[in-house]
Amino acid sequence: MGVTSETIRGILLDMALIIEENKQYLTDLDAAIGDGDHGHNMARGFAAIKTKLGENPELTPEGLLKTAAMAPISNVGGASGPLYGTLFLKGAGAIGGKPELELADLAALLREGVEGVKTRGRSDFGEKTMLDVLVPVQRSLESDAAAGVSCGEALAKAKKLAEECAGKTRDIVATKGRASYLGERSLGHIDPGAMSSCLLISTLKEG
Amino acid sequence: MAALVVVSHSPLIAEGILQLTSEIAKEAKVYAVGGTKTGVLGSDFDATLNILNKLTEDTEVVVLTDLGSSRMTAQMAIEALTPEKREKISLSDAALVEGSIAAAAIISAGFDIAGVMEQLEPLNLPK
Repeated sequence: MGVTSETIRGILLDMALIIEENKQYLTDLDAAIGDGDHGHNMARGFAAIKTKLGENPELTPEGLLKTAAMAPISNVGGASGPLYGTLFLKGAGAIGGKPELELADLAALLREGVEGVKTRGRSDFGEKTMLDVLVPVQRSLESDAAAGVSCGEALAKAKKLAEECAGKTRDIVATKGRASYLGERSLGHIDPGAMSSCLLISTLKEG
Repeated sequence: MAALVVVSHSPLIAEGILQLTSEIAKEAKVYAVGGTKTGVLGSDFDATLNILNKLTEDTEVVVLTDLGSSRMTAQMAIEALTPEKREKISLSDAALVEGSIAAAAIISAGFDIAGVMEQLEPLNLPK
């Protein structure tokens, strides 16, 4: 059995909750190397997702992701709106009309989403951004899907990997986004976008 | 005549661009979106989409932005339009103040958007 619409709705609501709970933490991370609004922007975007989901009780996985995409695009105003919006929107395109998602579908969803984020943000792995979490997580899910690893086990590995990768952004000099103006001084700080991606990944579940 | 649309984080920057361009090229059609609908700093996707949707009914548009996230917002608004409307828009990476003044002057001299984009190229920034 795959991941159902009901589970995806639950994940999106959990995402809104974990972002709200960590709003101040993300903003503090951003205050150190950016403009100090990431937590509040994310919270605004995900609160809008929650509202939009409440207005649309019967959505397919694709419909849920499209709804989740438009809310941050319209309500954030900072870079995280278009970036997470693109992640969801391109991800929705990858799953089409499937009623349930298997591990391979989750990997494909994230593959298209991550490629979209790279293009939108003109960035790639290794620049102290959300991609430093999303790229390795996507690769891990993809190789686990190919190797026939169970969905539950693959997600558990992905969450652990996300935490490690978010922590590792401490050792990266930012070359993209506002933190890049700081150059070497961005060292020693966790990237707020990598951390918000890590928090979002931590809510993934199969049922 | 082509139009210029500016997407900024700040309503004050948007207003300032209108002030500058009206001084330099009164007859150029310039529109500026600045700040979010909730009144905080940031770019407004819906307002950008609305203005681009309306203008591209019959006008070609050059879009200028102030920072990377405004550029992303503008890009997503352009992607949300029909292909016919999308074709009427060019998104420039030019420095906002210099680019807006140049674009307004070039537009009022009667150039099409390809001509405007060509002349804006030396002003491009990595956004």
